[in-house]
Amino acid sequence: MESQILETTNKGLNREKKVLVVDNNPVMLSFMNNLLVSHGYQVLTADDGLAVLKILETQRPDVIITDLIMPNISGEKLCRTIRKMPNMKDVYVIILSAVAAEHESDLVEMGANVCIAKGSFNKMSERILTTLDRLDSSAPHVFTNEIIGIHDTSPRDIAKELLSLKSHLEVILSSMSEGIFEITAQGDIIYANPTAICIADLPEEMLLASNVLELFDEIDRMKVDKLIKNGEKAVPNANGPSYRLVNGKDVSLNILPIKDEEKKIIVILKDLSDRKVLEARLRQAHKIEAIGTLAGGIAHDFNNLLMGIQGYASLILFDMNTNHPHYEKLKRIEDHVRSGAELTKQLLGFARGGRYEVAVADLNEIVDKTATMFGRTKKEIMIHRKFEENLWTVEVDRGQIEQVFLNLYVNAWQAMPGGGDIYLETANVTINKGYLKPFYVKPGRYVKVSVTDSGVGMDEKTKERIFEPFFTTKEMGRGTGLGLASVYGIIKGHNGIINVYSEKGHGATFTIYLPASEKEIVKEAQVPTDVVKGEGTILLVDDEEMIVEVSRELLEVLGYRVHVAKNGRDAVEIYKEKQHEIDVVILDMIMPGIGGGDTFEALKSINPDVRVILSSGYSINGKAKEIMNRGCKAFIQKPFQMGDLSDKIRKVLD
Amino acid sequence: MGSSKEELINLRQMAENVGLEEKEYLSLLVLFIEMSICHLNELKSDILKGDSRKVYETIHTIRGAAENLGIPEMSEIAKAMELKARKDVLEGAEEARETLVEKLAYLTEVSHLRYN
Repeated sequence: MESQILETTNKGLNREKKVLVVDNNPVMLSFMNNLLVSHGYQVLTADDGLAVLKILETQRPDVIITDLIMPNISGEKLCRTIRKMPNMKDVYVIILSAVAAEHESDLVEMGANVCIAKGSFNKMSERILTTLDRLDSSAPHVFTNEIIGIHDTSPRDIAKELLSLKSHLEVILSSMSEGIFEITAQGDIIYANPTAICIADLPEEMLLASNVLELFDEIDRMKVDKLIKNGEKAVPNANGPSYRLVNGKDVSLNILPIKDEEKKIIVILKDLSDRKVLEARLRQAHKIEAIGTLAGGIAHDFNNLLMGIQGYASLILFDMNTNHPHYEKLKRIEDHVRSGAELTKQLLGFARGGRYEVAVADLNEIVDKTATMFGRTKKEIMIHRKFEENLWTVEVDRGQIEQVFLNLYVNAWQAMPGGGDIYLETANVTINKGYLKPFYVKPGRYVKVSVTDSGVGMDEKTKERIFEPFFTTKEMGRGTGLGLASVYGIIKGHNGIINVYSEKGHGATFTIYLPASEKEIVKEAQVPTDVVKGEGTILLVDDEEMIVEVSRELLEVLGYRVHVAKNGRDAVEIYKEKQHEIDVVILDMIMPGIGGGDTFEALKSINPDVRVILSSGYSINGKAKEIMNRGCKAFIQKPFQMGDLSDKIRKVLD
Repeated sequence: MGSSKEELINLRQMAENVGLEEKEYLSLLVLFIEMSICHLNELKSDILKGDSRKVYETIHTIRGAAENLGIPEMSEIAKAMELKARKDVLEGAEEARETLVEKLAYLTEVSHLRYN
């Protein structure tokens, strides 16, 4: 709304007082305009503080009637600003507000002369007209049209005048995310935008009276002084040097000298605190990854050893009677191997992945099942469930996710010796960009699961290290320190996020976010444990002696004929010769020379319909998945159970 | 909604309540409706964004104008919203906003009848 000047129609009256009405409510403005004009006043209207300041550049009203609550410049700020203007000292300011009483504003301090409460039009009109009347008949001298000159040129007055004249610039400066200081050549601050005030964490009045160097910590003061004196125009660099303020914040600086006689300087600050926090978290994430790679290598070798033990135990058991004195012992060996495999699975899980069979799942069901399982054995723990009803589905490796939750429950349980409560909550959430740094995950729909305990809590130092493998707060022999590390790895492998909130003495909450799936759940097929004998010829490709020995025996016991190749090249040679005999190829992924992937391609070029089962001690994520996509029929993870092996071969052959 | 004769009386009554001539009241009412339509639209996204400061300022203006024109059905709701928003509470704000939109629609119909 543009400001309007309306002529009074009744020249007879000697009330040609100029009244400026300020209100962002057009109904009010229109009403006031009509009211005042009809009573002989000259009326100017403005719908916000900026418009007022513009009007005041060329007009000098006798009375200003303003509302308090307005966008941009509030009535209060407007009042103060007007009062500081040299030629506005005698203007009569009326606050017209619905909230002045509620706010308990100090009118005198604001610079207003009187406050009239808003209400219904008739009451308001009465009050306003009465007040204005009283002004008319009061002693003279109240209104003069003289423009009083600027008395002194102290920086503060200059600043305020700058404000009133450059109001539109202020709007821009206010909305910048960088802090802007304007300083004299000596370094005295004459202007600070809201962001600068925020970064400095001091009230505006204090800032405007101080030297900019005082804001900086002693360590950096000299450097900053030099920087300002040199006054070079620098290109802002996000990774450039940082300077510390007295209040502890780190900022980057950009100095822009203004080429005028007074040699003022603009100083631009950017708060780097965020950046430093992010850098620290990134470093932490990288560290964990490095340890992960190491752990993965160890797990691989270990798995092969287990495979050997498992294989021979299976072979012996295969044609042993259950009555045999050694039967039980061998069974126990199998159990221990399984435990060992679980352990390596955890380590592999930590080594970024361990995913091997991803399927659509309902986390409510998984959390519920694992909680029930866990609760059965730990009677002293009360488990509380709060599940979102229509929880989105996720695509996960079931076994791994079950492991994640069991680990979290165990962790919670261990924080509550003597019993306690565990709270489980699930929810659908949508994550936007802001939350995700520094985790490399996409914004979008996620399923959130949180596990809260009422235990002893963690201090800051513990919290930082909690996902490190082998880090444990428990005594020797009581904890492997692998639990939470593997949780971290598994969640990362699923492209999810995990974080922990805790305070010493106040329990802990682990929150997991997994990407939601569009797919629906399909009933899973049962994994058979029965051994199915078969017929046919198998080409076994693996570079590890131990694996080859055991596997060959296993396969022969199952009834298959076995050819062996120790590397990719041999495998291709043998296949070329005997492709008509060979029904299935069991191919190890990691081999020296030609790796599994290239071997597969070579075999495919000989026979595009070649049936291959990919085997590996590693996870299926990444490389393996890629090979699977190129046409491998199945994947089996070492060490393999006889039942699983026989079943997979059967499936591939049919 | 009642006969048009009832509407006539309503407007006259409302104008009288605030001490204005019916013609002036009506023109102010139209102004109020135009302004409120814009503001209520803006409010929708401000509420979604959770910007309680902006919600407070906007609803304050609507409340003020509604009080000026003696429309308690709207000013009461706006006032409740305003008090909550000032304390950073936006619960129920969307429902209140929708109610205000309904009431405004009714007012629009009423004023339309006469303005033509």
